[in-house]
Amino acid sequence: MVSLTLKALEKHSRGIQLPDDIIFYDILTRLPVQSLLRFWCVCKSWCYFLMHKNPSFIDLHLSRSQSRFGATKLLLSAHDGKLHCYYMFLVDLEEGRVSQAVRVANERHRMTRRIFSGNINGLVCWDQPGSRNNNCTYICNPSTRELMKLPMTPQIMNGSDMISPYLSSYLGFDPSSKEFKVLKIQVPRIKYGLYFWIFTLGGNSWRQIHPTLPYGLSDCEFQSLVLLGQCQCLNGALHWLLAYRKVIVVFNLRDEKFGVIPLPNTIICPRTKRIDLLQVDDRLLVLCLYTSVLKYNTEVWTLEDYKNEVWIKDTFSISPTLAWQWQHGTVCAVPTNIPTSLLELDELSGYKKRLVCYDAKHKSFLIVKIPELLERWYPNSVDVGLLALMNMNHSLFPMGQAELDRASSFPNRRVLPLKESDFSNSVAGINQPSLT
Amino acid sequence: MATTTTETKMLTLCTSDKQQFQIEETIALQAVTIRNMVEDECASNVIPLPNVNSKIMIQIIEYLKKHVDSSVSKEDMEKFDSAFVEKKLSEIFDIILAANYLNIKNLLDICCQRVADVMKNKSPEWVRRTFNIVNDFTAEEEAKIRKEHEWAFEGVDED
Repeated sequence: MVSLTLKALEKHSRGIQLPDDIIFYDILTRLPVQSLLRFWCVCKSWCYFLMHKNPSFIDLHLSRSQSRFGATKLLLSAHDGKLHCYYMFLVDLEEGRVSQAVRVANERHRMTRRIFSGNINGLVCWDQPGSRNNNCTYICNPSTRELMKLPMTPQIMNGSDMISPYLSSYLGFDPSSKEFKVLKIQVPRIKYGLYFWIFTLGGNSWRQIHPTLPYGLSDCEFQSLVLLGQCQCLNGALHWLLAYRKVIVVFNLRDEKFGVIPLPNTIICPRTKRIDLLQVDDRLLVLCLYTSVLKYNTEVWTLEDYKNEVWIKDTFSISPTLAWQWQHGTVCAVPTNIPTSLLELDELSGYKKRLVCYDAKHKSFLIVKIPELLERWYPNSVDVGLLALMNMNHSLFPMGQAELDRASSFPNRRVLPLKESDFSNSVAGINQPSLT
Repeated sequence: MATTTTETKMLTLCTSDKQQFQIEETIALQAVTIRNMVEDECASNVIPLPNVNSKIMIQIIEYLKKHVDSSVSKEDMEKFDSAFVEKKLSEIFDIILAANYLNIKNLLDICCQRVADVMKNKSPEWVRRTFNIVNDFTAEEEAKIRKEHEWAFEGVDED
């Protein structure tokens, strides 16, 4: 009799319906962005819910993807010298898949690794020299393949007087107001002084600000900071390393003022071969490469307590191969939720691009080979450059519908979403002499 | 409070199909709903759980018994969890409903993660069938929405 009851129950439960709040908040928040976009067409209520990306859903989705290894992706970008465009790729570490996210076409200048600012909650930002020497600022969410071009800053002087061949826009997130802000720094060629602009995502124009430079920095020194460009956003502030003054320059996004965090007194810099500012799991790291008695050594300083400026030091000696790679390449930090065994190691030197990673969890260095999958996409004739590799959280964009509409209606929009078919056509096209 | 004076205090749970389960209180109290009932002293000797049937209750008790055991290592617990959710989706749905009602957060989490893992590469048609959702779009509307994110349909599993 019991078994009969069970059977009846089983039959009954097949027509089960889960409550909407479980489906939306407990299940859909755990899906990759690609699946969510695919499920818009399931029914009207799903479409409405997913389209209107409410903030609590986005926050929950982001925090779930940050805490799960499977949701973490690496972002790679590559430049195609012949077609004058560049690509961004997402590498799925769990499935070993590479998928192209966006293509930005027809730009004369190649991106360099320095002109990248990002992964701020899954968004990246970069500059491209545009017409009249005024930089265009792009913001991209590689997970949703959405790309947005910010409007130009107002011309406050003759355009050709602006120097802008390098990164001058930095994206940051202010958790107190939950706002994304872009800080843009312009350097005039002739006149003395710097121009600072702020763009808040969701707004529609740049706003000029007049902050005081910290630490008695001159405009010239500040320009070198802009040139060096490596910027980390943390605790609602942007951070740049100014090694020879032994400080980290801080721009607080909430009150829009500059400040400094002094580096520890005993730090080896500026007597270093290379120095980098990185971020791992909400901590700033300063990595110094130096030589002593014909050996390569590194100092890794971790800002353990941000508020009280407590630093912790680790020292290593590293192999000459690794040091060489480091000096000539990009450095990135391995997020601690990635098991490093998944990153392919290759100690051989050669032409292929590699990355030096600092594994903060195991306190060791390793060289990461760029997945060969990526190379498969390119014939040899194309200039492939690695521009950035970062931990890319698989996130929904919090850009807001308004800007997206504006971006898509941009008159001279040169931004193309990339499809598989587009890609193979364009690659095939390279070998045709008619194109050159 | 109940009058039991033995060392291990037992609770009796009564499922929707009137089956009774005697389990140790420490095991049962992992379910926040049961804990609240006991703390509020509104539970008599038998705690009625009208939203859970005996078939699901057996599985939930299996889960709770494992998780009350503090000697199990984190790795073993993860192994147990991933083996536990290797069930048919209809069963997982039942467990989700029960875990939601009984307020067992971790059980709800692992079951929902399981559903997400299964559905992430599936087609919208599969989702409709699995979740009993009626497609209320017209063919034109659906085509239009699909076109908006065409790339999201790359690499979808065959149904």
